[in-house]
Amino acid sequence: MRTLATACTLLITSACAQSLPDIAPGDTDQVVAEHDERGIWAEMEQAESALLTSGALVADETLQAYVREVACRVASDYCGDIRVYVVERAGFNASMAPNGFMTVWTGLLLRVENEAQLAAVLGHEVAHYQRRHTLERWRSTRAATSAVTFLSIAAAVGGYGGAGNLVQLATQLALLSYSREQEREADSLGFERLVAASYDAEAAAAVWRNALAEQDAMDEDQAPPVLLSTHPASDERLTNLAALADMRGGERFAGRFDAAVARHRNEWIAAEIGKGRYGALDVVLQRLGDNGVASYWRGEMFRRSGETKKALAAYRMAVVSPEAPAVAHRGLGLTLWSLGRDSEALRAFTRYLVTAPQAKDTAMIRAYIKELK
Amino acid sequence: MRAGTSLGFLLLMLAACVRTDPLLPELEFARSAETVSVLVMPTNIALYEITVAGLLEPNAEWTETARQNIATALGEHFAKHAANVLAYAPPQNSLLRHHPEHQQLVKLHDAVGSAILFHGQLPSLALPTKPVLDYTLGPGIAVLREDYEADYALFLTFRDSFSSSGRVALMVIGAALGAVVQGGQQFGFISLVDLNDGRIIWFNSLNSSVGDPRQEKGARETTRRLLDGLPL
Repeated sequence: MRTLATACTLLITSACAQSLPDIAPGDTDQVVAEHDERGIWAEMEQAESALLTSGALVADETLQAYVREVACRVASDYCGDIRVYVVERAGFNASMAPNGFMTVWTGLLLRVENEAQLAAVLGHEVAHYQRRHTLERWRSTRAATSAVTFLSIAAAVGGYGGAGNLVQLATQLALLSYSREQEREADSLGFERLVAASYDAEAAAAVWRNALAEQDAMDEDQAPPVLLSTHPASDERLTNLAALADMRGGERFAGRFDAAVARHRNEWIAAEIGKGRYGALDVVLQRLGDNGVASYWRGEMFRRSGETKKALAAYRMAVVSPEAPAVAHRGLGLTLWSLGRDSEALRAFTRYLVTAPQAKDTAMIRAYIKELK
Repeated sequence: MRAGTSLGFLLLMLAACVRTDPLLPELEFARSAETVSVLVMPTNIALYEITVAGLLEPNAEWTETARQNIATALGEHFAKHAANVLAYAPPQNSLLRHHPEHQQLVKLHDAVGSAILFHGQLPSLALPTKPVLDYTLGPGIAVLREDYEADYALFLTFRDSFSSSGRVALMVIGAALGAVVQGGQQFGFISLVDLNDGRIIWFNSLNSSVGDPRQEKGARETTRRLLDGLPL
């Protein structure tokens, strides 16, 4: 039975091992030549048209154009083959369809700290396109599952019915390690693209370091950041990227990046709050720095998770900063009230009404004030 | 990227269900004296090859051939019944292959048609508020009325799959061992929509393990079954 399991692992691994030539820039004839690839592309064209009519695209054309521009810079000769869409979605991720459409989640834009980090992710995704990873994975899955089907039958006929499970396990492991291999490849190709575009070489390692920091801050029963589940990460990858960077320098373009995304951060954070992964979100907020907006959101997060003392501290920091949103006073009021500090709560609510006289919830706040008096 | 998954899943699930009688709406459908014209919307068609293990591999060539064959067969049917057929073409001012609002209607029909099938196939899922076929694509249909001179629009969603040679081998081995290995399967649903108000005035579904729209003859047969009972 062990021989059988070894034999099929070998078979499956060899089925997986076939590597395809890169797709050449601008060359769709290559795709037409492969009938399975053509089928996948046709299916993806449908998915792309569904995305375009889904209402998920971010309406800010300037932002769309900016991200497209960064993608083009790292895609270089593949620029004309790639369409980039920023979609309204919380979470740390971007994805590449085999026919060249890339989706960038707003949750990714909230997390990357500068243009170079964005470019690192986009370069990685372009590499998946260039190396035709979807097709490779489809072919290896097809070959492996076919092999498993026949082997399971052979095992059953030969009286080794139980071997079927082993065979399946071996297949899953083979496919998993295969997808890790693709990620490694995309890492190193993406890194080359990043450096070729004169971006800060450290950026790629920084992205993974930040993703891992979020994961570490999560409760054990929570799913890891999406980026990590679709791009199996490891300390090894991080080490590799950090070693590659090795003080090569390059531009970060933090200012340019900020100009494009800053005005959206509030809505993006609100979307993340809705997800309830406070530990991980705290890591993100801390990275955004000690400004009033980040402090306000930390207050919201702590108040919702019942950490009243921390909420109070965060709101206090928020209300003294010039860029704090008016709602920070409301949050402060609610927190103080829940602690029984009524007169302070009253002052905070009054302050809210003064700062935001047009707010939609003024009637509610007036009712609170009446009750407190 | 998994846009088609829920639809595909529903169709697969329905395939496993016991087939009940097709839904027969209480038709308020009456042919006027003049010739009726039908706009055939972009069909949502996909054909797949079944791998040995039962995975579905999309096949663009088959899909395109089936799309053309079915379009031809639809045209033939309506010509025979003296109805005017308009094949969908995007409005002249549109740069896109399919106008986005028209595309939305095709997606809406997928969703509504899936709901009709879902609630119509099993008595336990039947909706008490809908004893007869009473579904609509809503007032949004007006965009079609404005852009095309037609009385009705026909929407079709269709999937078909064919065994690869490996799958056929597996079926033979399976049969010898007394196991049933599932082969190709075709599913689809089709609606006739009144362009005045968006109501679905006729609906039919198909679920079959025979038929091959990759061939002209097979496409004619599949189309005939899809249009079975159409009062046009």
